[in-house]
Amino acid sequence: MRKLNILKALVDLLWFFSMISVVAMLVIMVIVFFDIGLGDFDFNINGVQIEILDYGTKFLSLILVVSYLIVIYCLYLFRVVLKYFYRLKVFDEVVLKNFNKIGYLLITAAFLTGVTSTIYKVYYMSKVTVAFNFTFSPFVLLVCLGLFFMVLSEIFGISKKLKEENELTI
Amino acid sequence: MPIIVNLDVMLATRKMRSKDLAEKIGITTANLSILKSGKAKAIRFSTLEAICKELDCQPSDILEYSSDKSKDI
Repeated sequence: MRKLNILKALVDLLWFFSMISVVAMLVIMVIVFFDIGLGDFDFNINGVQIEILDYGTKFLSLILVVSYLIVIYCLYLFRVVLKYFYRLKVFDEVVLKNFNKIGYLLITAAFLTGVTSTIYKVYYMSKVTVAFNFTFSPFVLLVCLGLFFMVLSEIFGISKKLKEENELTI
Repeated sequence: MPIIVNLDVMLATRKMRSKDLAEKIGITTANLSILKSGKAKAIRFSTLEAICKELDCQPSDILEYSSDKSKDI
């Protein structure tokens, strides 16, 4: 249970800081959308540096913000799952549903970020790069994480069924 | 489930209470109730053996297969 405590503490800390970043992001979005002016600030969402501010980039940044908020919502769902684990309700229906939901949402967020950043790079920066790196791209990692959560949900479903069968074996 | 447990019939014919059978075969009355109601997913051979020994019957007297077609009729 010590590992669970450490994980819960870390996720809670991450949740606290992400709440601050959400508020900050919303303020920045208001500034961007109403053309109040960014000054010398770097406008960067999920690693995508926005340099030109027109209607197109505003729309793209809105999509990026939505994908960021989806990831934050996934963090919230994961917190709920950890609370259930803490109460030893490992095979609860909520845990299964949350794992599946986290999976779908992470994949959605990955595609939103990936497609948006690609459109921005190709259309606005006219830069098409084909790179071979030894590190994984955040897009692939996020998709893998999403699929992992979906597989985890299915495995938990099988485990729940086995547990019920074991309990109902006389 | 197409497997029907006729334990209540066997108990009635032998005029034995569920509580007594549960005590004799060494399972809880709650588990025996699950078995009687047909909610059980599986039965151990050891439990089946103990029930058959106590009620002096065959496994076929306790368990019965009924196809789903009979329900449709």
